[in-house]
Amino acid sequence: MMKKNSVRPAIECRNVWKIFGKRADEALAAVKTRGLSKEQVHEEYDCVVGVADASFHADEGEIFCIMGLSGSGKSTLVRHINRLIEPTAGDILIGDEDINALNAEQLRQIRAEKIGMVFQHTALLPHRTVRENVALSLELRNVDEQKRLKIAEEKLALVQLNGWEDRMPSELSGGMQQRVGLARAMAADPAILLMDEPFSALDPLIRRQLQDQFLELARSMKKTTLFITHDLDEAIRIGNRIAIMKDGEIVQIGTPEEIITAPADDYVADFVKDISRLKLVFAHTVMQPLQSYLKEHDLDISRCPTASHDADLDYLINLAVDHEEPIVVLDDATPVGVVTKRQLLRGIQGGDNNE
Amino acid sequence: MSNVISQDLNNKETEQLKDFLVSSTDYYLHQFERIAQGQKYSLNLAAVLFGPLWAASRNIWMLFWLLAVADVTALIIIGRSLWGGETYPEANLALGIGIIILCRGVGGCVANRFYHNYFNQWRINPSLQAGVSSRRIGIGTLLMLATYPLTIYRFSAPNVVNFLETFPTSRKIASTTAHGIDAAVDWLTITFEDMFDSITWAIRGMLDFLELLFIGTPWPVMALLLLLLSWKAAGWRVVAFTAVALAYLGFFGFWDKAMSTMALVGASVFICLIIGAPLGVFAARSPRFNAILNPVLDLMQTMPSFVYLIPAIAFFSVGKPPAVLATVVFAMPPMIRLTTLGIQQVSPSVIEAMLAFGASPRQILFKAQLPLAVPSIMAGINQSIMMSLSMVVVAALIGAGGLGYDVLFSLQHLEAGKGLLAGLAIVLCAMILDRIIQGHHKRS
Repeated sequence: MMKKNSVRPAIECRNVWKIFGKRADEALAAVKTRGLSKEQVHEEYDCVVGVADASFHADEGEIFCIMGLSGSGKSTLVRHINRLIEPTAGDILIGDEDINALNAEQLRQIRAEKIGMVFQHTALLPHRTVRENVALSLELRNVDEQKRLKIAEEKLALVQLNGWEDRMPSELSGGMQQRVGLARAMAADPAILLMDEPFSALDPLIRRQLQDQFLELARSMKKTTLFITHDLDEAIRIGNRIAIMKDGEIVQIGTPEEIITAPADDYVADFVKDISRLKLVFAHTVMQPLQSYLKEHDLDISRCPTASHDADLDYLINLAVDHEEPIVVLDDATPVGVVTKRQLLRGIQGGDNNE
Repeated sequence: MSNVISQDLNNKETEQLKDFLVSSTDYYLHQFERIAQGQKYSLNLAAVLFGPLWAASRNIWMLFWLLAVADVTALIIIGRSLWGGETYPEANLALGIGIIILCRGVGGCVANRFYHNYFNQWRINPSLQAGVSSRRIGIGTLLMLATYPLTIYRFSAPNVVNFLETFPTSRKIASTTAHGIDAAVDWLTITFEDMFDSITWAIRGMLDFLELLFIGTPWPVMALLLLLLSWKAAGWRVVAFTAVALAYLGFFGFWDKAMSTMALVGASVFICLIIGAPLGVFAARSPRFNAILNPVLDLMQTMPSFVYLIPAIAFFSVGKPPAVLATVVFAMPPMIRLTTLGIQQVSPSVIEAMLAFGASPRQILFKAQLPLAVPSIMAGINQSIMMSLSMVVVAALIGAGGLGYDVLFSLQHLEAGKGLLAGLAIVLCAMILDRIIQGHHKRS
């Protein structure tokens, strides 16, 4: 996974609160001093808590998923990044720029040049051709026509839509429209992509194709991406790290493996219980440390099959099927642990593996 | 098992009903059950005896007013027979009593059904008031006291005091106010003479140019251009229609007048567009301005046009310029309203996307909102044209000439045939313009 280096994260949110309603400031003060619940805030101040004390950061080139059910505040949170919504309290930093300190013109510039956004319902301009839609952000920055249309064509080629440049958006299927949306978001070559449930409205097959296509693009373009989804499978396929939101709060942030193997509470556990663990849980999580195994058992390591510490369960199953002996887990050629069949089965099941 | 569940449900419903009924629960529980089983009518004695007051106590105001009207009608007939004397010789005491018994009887029969309906409403919206309240009985009594005696007295007494028949009017208030307005108009006419003159001059200039264009252009060229336009915009069927319509205008001698009317309409619609579209945009962006503008637009559309012709003549004298302005007043509201509507209809997600890509408010307006509002704005122009054409006769009253003058002339000389021909010419002008614009609008 991504190792954090010394440079600042590409996106950082610190203690962001968003309360909707006329008396938002009073309500926030009351929440902070008296610790009101969301229902109490709604009753006393007629305000709705959209985001509650959210903090996270996304590193450069990372795909950071925010996952939650509808109404959990994930779309609200992501709209703070390009300040489509202003926070009631808290800081949002893009690189080392405080987005809430910008004036209107600076904000427009950063939106056009640094942050691309893809919407759930595409939000293409219906009166313009596909090509003109993709060139929108450049047009808004007054890039000359020839140049911006050429760039638009390049971006359309990236999402494999060459030949469709002169069609109107309504002539395209939903999946194609969403690819136009992606091309539009990338036209200005922004460092950051905000994707607000981009694939949610598509049917499962197309969704899968677009996920693959997006992953490929993301790997080659190295854009920092905030990816909103209500589908944990999607979050796990796409995200380097995942934040899980519930009722405006972030309940857990972690890699897909961390979320699956160590859910922070019952809510998250309930989500992950149906997720297939085969490709997401790795040898170092299910193994028993070598020392403690040797205390109880004799083992001739040279006769055992070996696997790297980041081999997934799928791979371990294949080894276990072919060999009688337990699998020895290596870290840089030194044996560090042992996976017996019992541990392997428990690991697949997802219980506590050392009972 | 299912029995237990239905038992539970029954209990729950009974509890709910008790909450709603508060008093006389046993009686109404029984009656409501009968209604639920499909028995439509039952006699509610309380409703028969107390009539409107029963309805008021149970908060069924619809029934209250129905029963009150029946009461008053019957009481008037009774009153006439008792003290109406010679003024109302046909009145009959028995008839009055018959009516009151009949109405109370019918009221008693439907009362439980009304009450059951109200119970269903209350189930949907529990904030409605339930039960019986002395406050409502009080209100009902007050309402009856306020309406019954005066109405019965007015319709049954042989001689009625004067002030009941006519509203106590003060002629003085009206006349002083009217004089005040007259003085204000005079003052405005004199003080702003230069401004009014320059407006008149500008409109006359535009009209002269348009008339030169429409009338000055040789008729074959003009006809060809109109036919080409309808072909471009709407296809062959509209061309055929335009050709027939133009032939009618030509052969019946309306050509010049029709062109003059078209120039007048063109000038009016142009002014509507350049003033109305920006106002519409502004109203779409500012709800407060919209709230102020709306009653003004209602006023412009409903005020009889003759009313503002008088000050228009004072400000701009007679002739075509005041006719254009009167037409603009009448024809501009749909232009403004449809522009506002068109801009408000632009999907919020499109606006959000524009914002997310760094658009300024100006760019949002010109690159997204206005282009997407075009169909609606075109409909506004079309409406303005139609309404302008409906004003040509009124405009002719203050010397605008054109086809309207022919209609006016026939009206004054009672020449039905000539009037009909001129009227048809106006209709054809309207239809040509309408088909061309709508055809264009449908194609794009």
